[in-house]
Amino acid sequence: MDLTDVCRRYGASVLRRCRGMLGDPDEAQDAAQEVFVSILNKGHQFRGEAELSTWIYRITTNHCLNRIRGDKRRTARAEHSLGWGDGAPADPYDRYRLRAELRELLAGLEPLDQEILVHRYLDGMTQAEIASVTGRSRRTVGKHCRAIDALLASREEGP
Amino acid sequence: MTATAPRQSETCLSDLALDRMVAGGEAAADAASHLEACPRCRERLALLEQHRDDSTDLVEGLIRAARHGGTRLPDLEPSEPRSSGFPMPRLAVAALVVLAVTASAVWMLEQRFERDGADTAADTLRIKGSSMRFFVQRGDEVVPGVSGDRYREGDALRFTVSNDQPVFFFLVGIEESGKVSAYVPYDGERSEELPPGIDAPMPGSLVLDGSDDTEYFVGLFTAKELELAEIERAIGEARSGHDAMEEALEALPLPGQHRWVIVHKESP
Repeated sequence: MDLTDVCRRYGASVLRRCRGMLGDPDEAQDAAQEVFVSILNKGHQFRGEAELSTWIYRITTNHCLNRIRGDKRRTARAEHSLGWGDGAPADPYDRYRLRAELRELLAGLEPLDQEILVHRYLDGMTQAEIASVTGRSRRTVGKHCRAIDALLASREEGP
Repeated sequence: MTATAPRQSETCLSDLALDRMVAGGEAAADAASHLEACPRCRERLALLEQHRDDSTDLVEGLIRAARHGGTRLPDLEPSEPRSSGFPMPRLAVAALVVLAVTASAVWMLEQRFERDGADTAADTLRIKGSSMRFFVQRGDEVVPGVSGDRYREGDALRFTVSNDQPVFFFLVGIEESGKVSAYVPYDGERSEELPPGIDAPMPGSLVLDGSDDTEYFVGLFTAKELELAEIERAIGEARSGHDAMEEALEALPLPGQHRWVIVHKESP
């Protein structure tokens, strides 16, 4: 498998998702570059397009989450970075509009919940897809999704 | 948080499914049938494909940086190119590279750079405060240059540099024979000071001749002035200890930060 070609084929997806999660275009490129390094070093361990693409989604998510966890200034910065950033497409689903709020939510969640939140609300995945990407059972994912939905609902209602 | 469902419809395709299609994978049968019936997903797919096409240069630059050990990348925020402070070099011919200052070419490069520089990574070599990248003009087209790629006779290369504090800068070209030529400052005996700036275009452009060989360009950012003779001596030392020029450049016994670009020349 030509891993450079894999990077090329999934590069725009990686970059778009990094921008979506991190907001800052420069930091998104750094994160995307980290993902490419991972692909080039470890991509040979995967067989088949489906397995590879779910893994790329997961490592992209985790690289970005690691950066978010390590950056305490991000909450303030996120308020100014609601869009995709320069050159990124508009999103017909408009589901990324709440990204800044999602970032705030991440701070109070366990790592698995953070991952599931990103896949469910940023990537719009089904529970089956989330289970595939995270390597958890559908039942586990369903349980976490319900907990996250309840948390979001409670925030909607306010104090 | 206002109410927003994870997806518009539980049957709509996720970005994961759409990204697989954008990446050239075959859609599952149910995904394909959904796509046929769902204008929203078709629109989303078209946007992702457009984004892929728009990101090609940037992604390529990031991949190249990843392959070169995680060299950091440039700021992509739009910025005004600054004046480098260097005089325009004299028209002259080097053994393998001709330095041609062509007003129209420079203008085109600057115009293209101002237009596209903000969203193309090119092959960029930034580490903690200093970077160098280059653009290539072929005919009317100007594209970000990629170190290690092949370029043709007549292609004009133009370098830009970024630095977050005043530095002394020297751009030299090294032939496979080891001959060193100073390009910025042109024909200079020592480096010149650069004020801080972002993506400052260096004066003049380098027009490749038709020889089938490789040219190495090294940008040297140092805190103190550097003599060309020191560079020639260091390159001689580095070459004697390494079989490959790339290894020699990595081990260049000089202070400061070194950014190098490899250009393979080929006949059209």
